[in-house]
Order: sequence, then C-alpha cells, then structure tokens
Amino acid sequence: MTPERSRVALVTGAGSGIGRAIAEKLAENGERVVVNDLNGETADEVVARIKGSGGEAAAAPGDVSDAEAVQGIVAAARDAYGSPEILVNNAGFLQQKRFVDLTAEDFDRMIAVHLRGTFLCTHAVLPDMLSRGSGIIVNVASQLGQIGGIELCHYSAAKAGIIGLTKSLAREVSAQGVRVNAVAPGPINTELVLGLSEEWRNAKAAELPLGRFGEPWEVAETVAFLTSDGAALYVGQTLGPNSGDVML
Amino acid sequence: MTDSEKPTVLITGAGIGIGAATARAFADAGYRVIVTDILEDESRSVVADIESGGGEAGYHHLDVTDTDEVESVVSAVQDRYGPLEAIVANAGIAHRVPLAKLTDEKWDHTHEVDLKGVMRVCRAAAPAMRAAGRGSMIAVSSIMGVAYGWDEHVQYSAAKAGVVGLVRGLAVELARDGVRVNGIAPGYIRTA
Repeated sequence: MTPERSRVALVTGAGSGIGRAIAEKLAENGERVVVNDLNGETADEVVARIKGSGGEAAAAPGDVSDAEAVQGIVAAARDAYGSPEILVNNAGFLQQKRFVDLTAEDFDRMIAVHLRGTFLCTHAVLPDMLSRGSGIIVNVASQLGQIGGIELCHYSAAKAGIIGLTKSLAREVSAQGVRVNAVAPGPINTELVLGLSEEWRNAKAAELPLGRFGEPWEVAETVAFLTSDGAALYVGQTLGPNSGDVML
Repeated sequence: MTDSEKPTVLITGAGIGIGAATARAFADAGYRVIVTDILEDESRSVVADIESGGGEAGYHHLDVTDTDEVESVVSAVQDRYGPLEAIVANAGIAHRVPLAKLTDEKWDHTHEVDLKGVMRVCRAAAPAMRAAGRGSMIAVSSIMGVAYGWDEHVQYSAAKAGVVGLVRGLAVELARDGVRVNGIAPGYIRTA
C-alpha cells in the first residue's frame, strides 16, 4: 500500500500499551496514523518509532473527554493527512476500587474518558465518513464490559456502554458505508498489568484456557483485521482476543 | 515454502457455498487444501479451480455422518501430509420443516450432520494436533444458533446453537495442548 492510497487512521490513547501496538500495526499496514494520547511526549515517541520503521505518523495530543480538545485532535489529523477514514477509540485508564469507596468523581471520570471520549471522537469524525460513504470505527472495549469485574464497577460500566454504543451506531450507519465494531480484550500484558503483583498475574494466567495473558500486538492484529476488507461483514460485532477467558 | 512446510487444512462441505469459498481463501493463503464433501463433481471443480490458480488441493469424499469415513479420511490425510494445521467443520444442511411436520428422523438427521458431524471431524483431528502441540479448529455455526431463532427451522437453530457449546467445551479442553477452537456464525450469505 503506497502512502498515496493509504488511509488516515486516528488512534486515541496510542502513547502506550494496546493503543501504541494498534498505531504501529496500522502504520505497518501502510496507513497514515495520527497518534493521540493525553501525554504528548509518549505520542511523539510513538510517532518517532513509526517513522523510524518507515511508516507515516503524526501526533495529535489531547484529552478525549474534552469536547474542545477533541475538535483540536481531529483538526490536527486533518492538517497532517486529512479527515480520518479509520478511528480507533482506545483511550482509557484502569482504576480498581471497591464500589462502596467509589466517589461520584471517580465514576464520572471513568465514564468521561471511556464512553464520552468514544462518543466525542466518533461524533467529530463521522460526518466526513458519512459524506465520503466510507469509514471504519473500532472501539476498544473490554471483556469486563461483558462479564463484569470485582472492584471495577465503573470501568465495566463504561466498557459495557461502549459495546452498546457500538451496536447501536453500527445499526444506524452501516448501510451508509461506515463499519462500526468493537474489540473486548482479555488480560493483556500492558505496562499497567505488568505492574500488578506477580502472584496475581500467575494465578490469573492459570485460570485461562490458553494459560497466558495476551500481548498488545495480539489485540492490534484483531483491530487491524477489522479495518481490512476481509472484515466487511462484521457489523456491530465485539471480537474477543481474551485467551479463552470469556466465550460469547 | 517447501512441500513439507506447507500447512494443510481439511474443510468439510467444501464443494459449494461457504465451504468452497473457504477452500479458495485458504489456498490463496498458501495452504494445501483438502476439499471434502459428498458432492464429488462440485468438489473436483473447486480443486481444479485452486490448482489452476497455482495452489495445491485434493478431494476426498466425506460424509460427516459416517464415523468410519471421517476417521479414515483424516487418518489418510495425516499419514500423507502430517498433522493438520487446521480443520474447518463446515458441512451442514438446513431444511424448512414446520414443527407440525418435524419428525424425530428429520430432527436427528440435521443434528447428525450439523452438530455430530462437527464433533466427529474435531475428534478425529484432535489427537495428531495435540501431539504436535498446535492446530486450529473452526466450526461453522450460524447467526440462527447464536442470536436469533429461525421459524420452521427449529432443528437447524438447535443444532447450530449446539455447535457453539461444542466449540466452547473443545476450546477449554484443548487449549493447553496448543489447539485453538473457535466458531464463526455467518449471517445471511448468498449460497446455493
């Protein structure tokens, strides 16, 4: 795929972990990747890595939970390469807290970044996709949005909301050429997860049919598939790269 | 890729429809494709198509309701090419049968093909895959077994839902041996 024919792909939360892997995979596939992250430095680092590997990338830092910031992110994408043809809503964070200890602020922030952020970014790029008659949106949910998780009520709620949004939007726009799907990763060896106790990680891995956590690149492969022509029949689906932890 | 390195996939019901398309897709991906079906003419046409495109394929008659035939075909393929890299349990039937006319025989026949046929192929391929520590089994279910019911196709919906349970059980049982088991649930596909 030559750069002239490659698509503009905006990946949010792409400064680290799964998001970075997605950005790098899409760049490897020849897409022109706009790397968003709350942390501008990490976004720049990912851009540098992609360019160092011969790919095309530009940074567009910003907070996806902020409507004005999202307009700036999308404007930066347009300035760099044009209106996004692929949007991967990946930005998010994890907070583990007992429900009784959750504050309203904790809850609101979780929903704001994950669900509102997905809404704002999608809302900003969708009109151009509809005008063009083509576009791909992949929302990074979580298996916790499907099955729930102890001390992760607000996270699970946000991710479940993303799945609901995915299905509804897919029904609404797929006939107009915009394909909307989600991925719901299981336990993945991100920097965050690797920071958890080895005892917990070993115990969890032992529960998994596959016997191991996934790697960020393995989630990126699923996302990349959903951006491919081979995924044309996937509409409103939630694919689960999860080591067999959840089977739906 | 040398002949011995070429991965082999066995696909049931590969003479027409989704099975035939799957055979062609695997051939394009560099697999040696074992086209199996009870429809010989159609299957040989798929093989010829693959070979004319530079791929490698062969045909075996395979009735997935016949345990002995399933075992012997899988065994013969493995003896010649080594453990299968993948199997696609696709063979299936779908007949419109109003409940008032649904006999035990019609129910049983659909389950023999659509559910037990999947089990037979997976069971036959599993030992060599497990010994090799790798392999992928793909079972074709249906949107009608996963998310919707299909009126006057009760036996089909039930069998395809059964495939989902089969996939999950097999996936858990075989995962630690390096064998992955997954299902696909196609929606409305333009087939014969």
